[in-house]
Amino acid sequence: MTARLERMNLDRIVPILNILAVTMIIISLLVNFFYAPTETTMGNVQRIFYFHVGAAWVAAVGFFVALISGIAYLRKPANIWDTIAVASVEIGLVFTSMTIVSGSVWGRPAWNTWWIWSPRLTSITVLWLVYVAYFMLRGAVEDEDKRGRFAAVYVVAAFVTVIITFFSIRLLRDIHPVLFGEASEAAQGLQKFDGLASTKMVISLNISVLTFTVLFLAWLANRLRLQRLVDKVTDLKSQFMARYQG
Amino acid sequence: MTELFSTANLLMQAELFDPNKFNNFLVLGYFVMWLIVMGYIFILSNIQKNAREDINLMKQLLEEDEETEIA
Repeated sequence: MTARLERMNLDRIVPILNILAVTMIIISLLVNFFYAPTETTMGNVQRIFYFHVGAAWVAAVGFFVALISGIAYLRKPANIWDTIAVASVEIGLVFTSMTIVSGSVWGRPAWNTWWIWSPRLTSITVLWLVYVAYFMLRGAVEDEDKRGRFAAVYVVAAFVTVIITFFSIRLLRDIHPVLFGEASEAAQGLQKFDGLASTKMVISLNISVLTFTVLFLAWLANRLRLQRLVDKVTDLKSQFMARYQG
Repeated sequence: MTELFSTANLLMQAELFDPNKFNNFLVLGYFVMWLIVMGYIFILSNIQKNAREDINLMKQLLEEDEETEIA
């Protein structure tokens, strides 16, 4: 598996994924604006929700991929796992930022405030900070093996924040609506949410989620290819330095 | 009877609530998401640009080195 990943021909995969991602984004935008019905309570602003949920889903996928890569690295330390973990966390952070910002913009008309320190919003802020700290940790360790090991342990432990964020609205009283599954009795929020009222809304949401998943894969492939290039350049630089100093 | 009330309620809501009322927030929401995506793509293209510049510099140095050796 490790060897196959290291040999993977990204030059062929990247353009296909890029084209697919762009096409799906266009389709998704058209679906969100022209196919999905207007929500009766919130009006058009509810259309933010499709990309908000898509981004949140992919952020969780990114952190999950990082978790798996971290475990794989700890089992068999290979550079490819470390690279996948870095790329996944990086992309996960971008999508988390999109989720937070889009949620805040939606919250202003829906809750009459840009931000509220509710369990969900607090936990996602903690999640964001924890994963930002991952890069600070990597920057602080010079030795490559040590850095890989420390980062792998950290990324495995950091996944707890994803679980806490997911369950926060299901276990604690929160203003944030619960979309999937039921909230516990104690967690009933202040805002009534009837779920996705129409099938068209469900289809639109599924298309958005699929689009963001393809976008994640495209970015991951691009990031891995770029990292290979950067690693080669670093390697060449050190060879150059050795030659000139010698 | 309940259905009648809920229909009346919906009709009243439709009169009171304009679905386009918060369109500026909708535009802002999609704009900031687009901005974040573009920002990330810009960072990636910058890394790629720097790597390319480094490769070109090394190529140039190698060529100069070979020319010196030949001379």
